[in-house]
Amino acid sequence: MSRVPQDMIDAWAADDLNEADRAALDRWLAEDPDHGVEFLRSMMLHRHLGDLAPVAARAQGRPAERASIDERQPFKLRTHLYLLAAGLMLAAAAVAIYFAVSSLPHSPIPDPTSPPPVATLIESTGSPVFYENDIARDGGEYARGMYSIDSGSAQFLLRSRVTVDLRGKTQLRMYNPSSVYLARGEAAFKVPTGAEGFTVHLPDGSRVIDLGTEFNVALDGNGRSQVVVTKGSVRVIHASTGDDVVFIAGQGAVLDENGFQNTTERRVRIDGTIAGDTSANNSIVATFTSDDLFVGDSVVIDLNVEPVDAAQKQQWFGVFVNPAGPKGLTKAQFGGVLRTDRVSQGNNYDQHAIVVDRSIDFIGVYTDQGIGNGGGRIRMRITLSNGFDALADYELQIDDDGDGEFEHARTGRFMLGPQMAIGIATDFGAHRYTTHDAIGNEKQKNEGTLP
Amino acid sequence: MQDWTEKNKQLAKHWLAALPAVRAYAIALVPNPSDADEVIQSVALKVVEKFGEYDEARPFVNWALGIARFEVLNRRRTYARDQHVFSERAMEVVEQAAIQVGGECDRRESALQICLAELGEDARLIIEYRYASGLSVQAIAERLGRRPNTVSMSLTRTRRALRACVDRRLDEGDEGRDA
Repeated sequence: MSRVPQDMIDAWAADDLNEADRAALDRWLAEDPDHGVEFLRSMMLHRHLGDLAPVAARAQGRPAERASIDERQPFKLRTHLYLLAAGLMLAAAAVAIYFAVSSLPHSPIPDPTSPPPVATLIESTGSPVFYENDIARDGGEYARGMYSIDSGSAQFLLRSRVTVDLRGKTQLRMYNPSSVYLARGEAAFKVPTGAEGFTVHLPDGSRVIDLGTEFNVALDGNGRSQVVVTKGSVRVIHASTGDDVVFIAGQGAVLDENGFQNTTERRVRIDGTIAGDTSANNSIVATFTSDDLFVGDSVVIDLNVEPVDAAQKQQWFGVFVNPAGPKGLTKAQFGGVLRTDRVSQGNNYDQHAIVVDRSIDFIGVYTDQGIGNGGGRIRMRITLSNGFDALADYELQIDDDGDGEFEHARTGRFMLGPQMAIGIATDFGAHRYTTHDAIGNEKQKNEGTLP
Repeated sequence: MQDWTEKNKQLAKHWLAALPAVRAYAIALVPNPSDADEVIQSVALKVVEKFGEYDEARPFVNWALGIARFEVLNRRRTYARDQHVFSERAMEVVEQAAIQVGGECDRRESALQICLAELGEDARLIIEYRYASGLSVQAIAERLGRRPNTVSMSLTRTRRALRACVDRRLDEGDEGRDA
């Protein structure tokens, strides 16, 4: 075997190989099958160093600092592109990995007296993080046992390289690096390749088995739990019914005593009614951050518009979405106008349906033709296809005359910031709305006329 | 709820056997870890989708690696700075190597964990800067007040030592899986 071009392999590993060296490396590879083995083993070393060095640094009490953009290795400059691409690409999931672990025995909940694993508390916000009865510190390593927070979040890295993110009032018992018990609250899990089979046990005895993915599990305190897959796929085994189902990215399941319920229902729903009145209004109904919504989650808005006084003009109704959060109300609006007799008799009837002006992220229609009969309805679903700080997809349907038919429909995308505010935007004064979570619990109710 | 047929069981068996080679192949040809993981997941999905087309007269691992090759090319053309990969011959060599030594991957990682712990403080710090913090050689040099060439040589030497340590542990059958 000729001399190993280690510098070239190292440059390849950093995605920083120039064209001449790539050609030279290509020739070297093609020379001898043993060169392929050498190349593979070197690349494994690079990959394993990337996986293990952060763990080793933490073990030494030196949590790795993050490089600024100027200081990073070349391929790390494109993290956002990769994340975006990952979200797009993983709209479909690797169901096959199910098969890789489907033959695993259905073991009972592990004995808590078995040798303890070590988890590192990477970062926490909000209330103190408790390990058993002691306060845990960021950067500290802790053994098996119960971890709890009252509010905020706490992120752990397990020895299995699984990341566990506790959210809000949560208790989670770690049995070992591959098995945990969620006793209360909500946790998100990110399981890297090689750690498939990581299992979350639920209070009712059900199990969520990871197949190489990211997922979220939340308990509602009434015996129900919700599993949402954000990337890849998970296998969920229901304790009572024995149902054994694989869910892929974008899917979710609510588990109750009867089995899986509402497997396609999303986390948040807003139902509302706009009643005819006189004054213009924009009102925030709900705000969302990455703590509330995950990749694959949707916000569903269903608004009814009651018939209004025909003397009103420029009667626009719809939904506004502020991709940057609750400040400012005009960035993105989705909706339509109530059709009037006069408009429908005009010569530009169709132009009064939906108008899109992407330059200002505005979707909607104004008319000065007066307002008329029947009321209307708008349905909208916003899906976080790629999470926050990424593109979101929307589907919009409008009934502009209250006949129960959606005359207008549109799909599209817009860019979300780090948070999102959803509101009712209307030229009417009064409106009523109710929000629900995915399980159907009423979360927020508002009735009355806004100022 | 799901009716897992005999064919699915066959797929599971094949996939389990092929996964180490597919993983090694992706790691070798897609240096970015996130991208490599996504390639593996994409291959898994395609394997399920196309399993009906699989000809059992052909080794499954070769068939899966054929899919992996397509996914690797697709990914590099889309996202890598250097959009070229390798010639067909070189890709074949890597495929065969993946079949041959893909199964070593987990044992190599376990061995490396021990080898890392044996590093001297200076070498370990440079490795951490490079791989945990993602710093470039230039940035590490600035942090340590050294010349970039010196840092680059230290990195090369340390990687070589780690590689030798891993090879030795595998030869001795001491990967430290129970460490």
